[in-house]
Amino acid sequence: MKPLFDPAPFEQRAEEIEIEPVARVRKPYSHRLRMRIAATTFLIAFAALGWRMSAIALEHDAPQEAKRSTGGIEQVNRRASLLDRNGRLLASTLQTWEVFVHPRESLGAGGVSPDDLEKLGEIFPRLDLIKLRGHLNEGDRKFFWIARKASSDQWRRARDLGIIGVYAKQREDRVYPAGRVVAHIVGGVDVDNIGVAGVESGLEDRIGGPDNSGKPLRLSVDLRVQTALRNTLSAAKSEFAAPGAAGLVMKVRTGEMLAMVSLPDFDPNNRPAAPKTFDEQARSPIFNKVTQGAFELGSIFKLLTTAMALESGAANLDTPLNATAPIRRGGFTISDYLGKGRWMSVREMVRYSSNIAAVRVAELVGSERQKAYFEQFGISGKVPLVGVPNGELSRAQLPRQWGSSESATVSYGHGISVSPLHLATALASLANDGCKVTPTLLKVYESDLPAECDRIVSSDTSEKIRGLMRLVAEKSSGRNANIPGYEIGGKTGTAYQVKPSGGYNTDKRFNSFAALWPTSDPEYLMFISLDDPKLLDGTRRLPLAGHTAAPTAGSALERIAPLLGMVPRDRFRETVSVEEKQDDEG
Amino acid sequence: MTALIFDYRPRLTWGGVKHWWETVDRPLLACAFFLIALGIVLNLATSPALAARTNVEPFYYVIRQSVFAVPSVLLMLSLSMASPKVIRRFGVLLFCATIALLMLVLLFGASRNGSQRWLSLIFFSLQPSELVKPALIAASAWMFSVKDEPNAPPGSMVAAGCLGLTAFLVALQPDYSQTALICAVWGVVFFLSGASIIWAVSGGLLAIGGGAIAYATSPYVAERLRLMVDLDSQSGYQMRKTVAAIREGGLWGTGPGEGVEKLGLPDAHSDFIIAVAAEEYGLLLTLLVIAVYAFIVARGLLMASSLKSVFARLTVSGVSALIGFQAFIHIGVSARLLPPTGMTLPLVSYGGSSLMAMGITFGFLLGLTRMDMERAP
Repeated sequence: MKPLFDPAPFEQRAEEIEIEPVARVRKPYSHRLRMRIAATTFLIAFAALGWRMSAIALEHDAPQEAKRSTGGIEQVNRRASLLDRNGRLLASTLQTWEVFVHPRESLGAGGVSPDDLEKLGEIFPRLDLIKLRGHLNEGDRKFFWIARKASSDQWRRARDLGIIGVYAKQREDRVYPAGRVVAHIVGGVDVDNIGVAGVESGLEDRIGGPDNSGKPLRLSVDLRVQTALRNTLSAAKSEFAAPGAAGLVMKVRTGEMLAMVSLPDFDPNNRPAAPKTFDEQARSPIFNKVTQGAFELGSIFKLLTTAMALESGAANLDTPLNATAPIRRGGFTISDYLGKGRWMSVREMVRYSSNIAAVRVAELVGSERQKAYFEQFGISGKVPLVGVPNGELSRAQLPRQWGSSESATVSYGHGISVSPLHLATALASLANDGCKVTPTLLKVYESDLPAECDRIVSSDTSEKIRGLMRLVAEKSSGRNANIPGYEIGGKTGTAYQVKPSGGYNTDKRFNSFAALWPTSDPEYLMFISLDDPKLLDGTRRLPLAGHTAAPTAGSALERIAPLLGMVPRDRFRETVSVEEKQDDEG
Repeated sequence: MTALIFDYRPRLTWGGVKHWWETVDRPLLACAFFLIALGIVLNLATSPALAARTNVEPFYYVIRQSVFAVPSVLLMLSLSMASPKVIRRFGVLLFCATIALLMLVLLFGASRNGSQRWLSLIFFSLQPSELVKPALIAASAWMFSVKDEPNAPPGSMVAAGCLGLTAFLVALQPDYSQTALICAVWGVVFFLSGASIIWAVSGGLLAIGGGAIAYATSPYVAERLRLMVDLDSQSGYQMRKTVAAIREGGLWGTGPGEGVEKLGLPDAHSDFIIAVAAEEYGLLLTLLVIAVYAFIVARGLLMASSLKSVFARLTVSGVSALIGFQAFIHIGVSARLLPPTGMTLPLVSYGGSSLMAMGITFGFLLGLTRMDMERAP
C-alpha cells in the first residue's frame, strides 16, 4: 500500500536503518518546522482574539462618560412610530418604568412601615404584598420586582412615598394598537426594542436609526382594507375549515401593499417564541404565508403561460389546441377536471382551465423560452418586497431540470412552488400595461414613481390577459367573485398539496384566487389563498377554488372597494337614472 | 520503541513525588491550577443566577464545580506521573470505552435542546463526546507512530478509521461544532505526523468544501453563520448580551459579583464564561486568560518538537492543539469572530465531563513533557 505520508527516519533504531530498503526512504520532512508553523498560527490567532476583545471592551468608554455627565439619565433613542397610509397609528413607543426594591437595603434602613406597604399595594394593584412583605422582613433577597411596566404617574406616586430601597429604571415599550390585524406587517421587537420581524426588522435602520427618531414612518398599508381582508379571510377560514389562509391587496400601478394577511396570526404585543425546527416553522403563527410560503398555486399559472405564448408569438388567442384526450408526459398522465374532450382555442384554454391545452401552449412556447419568461416575470429567486427582512422572503422553487414533463406541469402551476407574493407581483406586472411592478410596504408618493416603464410584456399582451381574466370572472370559474359594477377579472387555482414524503396528497388542496379590478384600467389586485379548504355545505362538491377562494375574494372585494372610494358603476348609473326620472316627474 | 523511552513507573513514595516535582514542567502545571481556580472564582459569579432558575441553593454550582475539580486534579496529577506506556494504554482503553459510551448515548442518552449528548448517571450526567477528545488523540498518535515497514499494521489507516468512527458518532447526536473540533485536532496531529503537503492541502480544501456543503444544505448551520453578522434577530439576543457584557466590563471590569449582563445570559456558566470574566474583571483578565492559553499551546508544541518518541510528540501536540482550538473557539464566539456555538473554555467552564476531560488532557500534556522524557539532540 502506498504510504499516506513520509516515513519518519529520525525515530528509527540504528539496526533498522540498515534493514530498511533504500528506495523507501524519502526526503525526511522537518517536524520541527511544522510544529513551529502550528505554534505560530495559534499565536497569531490568539493575538487576533486579544485585539478583538480589546476593541469591543474599549469601544464603549466614550458613551459611558456621556451617560455620567447627564446625571445618570440615559438618553434613550425612541423608535419611530409606524402609521398606515392615512395616518392611523400601527406602532408606537411608550415610556414606562420598571420599579423594583432592594429588600436588604430597606431592611438596613429600618424596614418599611405597614402603612407604606399598603399604599404601595394601592398604586400597584397586581403586586403580591404578602411575598414582598416576606422578603422585606427576611432580607433574604437582594432584589425584588414591584412592577415590570409602570406608568410615569405610578412611579411618581411610588417615589413620593419615600421608601428607602425602592428604585425605578426607565424603559421603552413598543405597542401595536391594531394588534393581530397587522401582525405580520409590523412583526415585532425583542426585549431590547430591536426589530425581529416584519417592517420593524426590515426597516430597522429607518425606525431605530438615530437620524429619524421621533419622525413617524408611513407605510403603504391601509388599516381599513387590512381589517376588512383579515375579517373576511378569518370567516372563510372557519367556513371552509381551513387550517390557514393568506391574502394580499396590491395597488397595481405603484406596487404598494394595501393589505397583507396570513392566518393563523399572533398578537405582536406579545410575540410568540420563534419556532426551533424547520417543520415547526411552517405551522407557527409567526410564519408569513404571503412572503415566506412556497406553494404550488395551480391554474393561475395558465395566465403566465398564455402571456408567454402571446409575447413570443408562438400562439394567439385563437390558436387551436388539441384537448381531446389526456396526454402522457414523462410518465405522468395529464388530464382535465370536467374536460371538454375537444379541440379548443387558447382563449377557451383559460376559460375552461384546461390542463391539456395549457401543456400544448407550453410546448408551442418551448421550455427554453418558458424558463426565460419565468425569470422575466419575476418567478425566480426572491421578490424584493421593500420593508420585509430578507429572511422572511421565500425563494421560488423551480424545477431543477427543465425537461418535457416539468415544462408541461409548470404550464398549469404544478411542480413549481412560489409564494403568493411571487405570483401576485407577476400578475400585477402583466396587468400594469406590462410594466414591471416592485412591491413595497412603504407609502409611495407620485414623485417617487419611476418615470420609465420597465417593460416585461407588450401593452397589447397586457390588455389580452386582462380580457381573459374578465372572461373567467364573467363566464367561468370566477363567477362567484364577480361583484357587479366593479368590472372584476380573475383566475382560479386549485392545486393538490405536496406530501412531505413526496408526491401529491389528492385529499388536500390549496385554493387560490387572483382578482383584478377594474380590468379596463386596473387599479387593484387581490390574491387569496386557502390552505386545505373543505366544503361543509353538504353538497359533496369538490373544494375547488371557484367554490371557496373565489367567493371569499368576492366578499372581501365587496367590502374593500367602497373603502377605496370606488362606486359600483352599474348601480351608480341605476341610481342616477332613478333620480333623473324623479327630476322628470318633478 | 519502549527500550529507548525512560520507563518511569509511578510510585507514590517520597522519592517518586520528589522526582516528579523535579521533572514536571512547572509553568504548565501552574497554568493548569490557575485556570481551575479561575473557573471556581467565575462560577461564584454565575452560580446564583443559574441557581435561581433551577431552584437550588445560590452556590450549588460552585460547590459542584469544586467537587468535580477534585477527581479532575487527581486524574491530571496521576497521569502526569505516569510513564508514556501507561499513558498510551490509558488513552487507548479510554478511547474504546468512550466509543462504547458514544453508542450508548445514541440509544439511551438524555435529550437537551434537541440533541442527545448526555448519559444520565446517578448524581451527574456524563458527556462522552468531551472525554473522547483526548482519548482519540492518544489512540491516533499511537497508530501514527507505527513505522512504515513491510508487515507492519496500517497505522495511519487505523487512525483515520478511529477519526471516522468518532466523528460519525458525535455528528449523529448531532453536535456539529464538536465534530468539527475533533476533525481539526486530528488534522493537526496528522499534519505533524508527517503527512505530505498534498494531504494537508487537500484536507484543508475538504474542510472548506464540507463547510460550504453544510452551509448550503443545513438550515441550522446557515442560520448560525447568519447570526454572527446579524445581531438584530431574536436569536441574536445571546450574542448581543455577550458583546454588552464585554463592553460593560471595559478595561477594569465592574467588580466581583457586580455584573448585570451575565444575568441575561442563559449559558453564562459554560459557553459564555469568558463574557462573565470580561464583565466583572475587565479586559485585563481577558487578556491574561488569552495569554495563558497562548502560552500553554506554544509551550506544548515547542516542547513536543524536541521529544524523541513519536507517540509522545504527537500526543503532546494534539492535546496542545485541542486546548488551543477550544479556547480559541470559546473566546472567538464571544468576540464575534466566529459563529455562535457552544464550546467550553478548558478547565474554566462549568461542567463535570468537560472538567474531567480537560484533567485527562492536561495529564497527557504534563506526563509526556516531563524532563525525563528522551529528547532528540
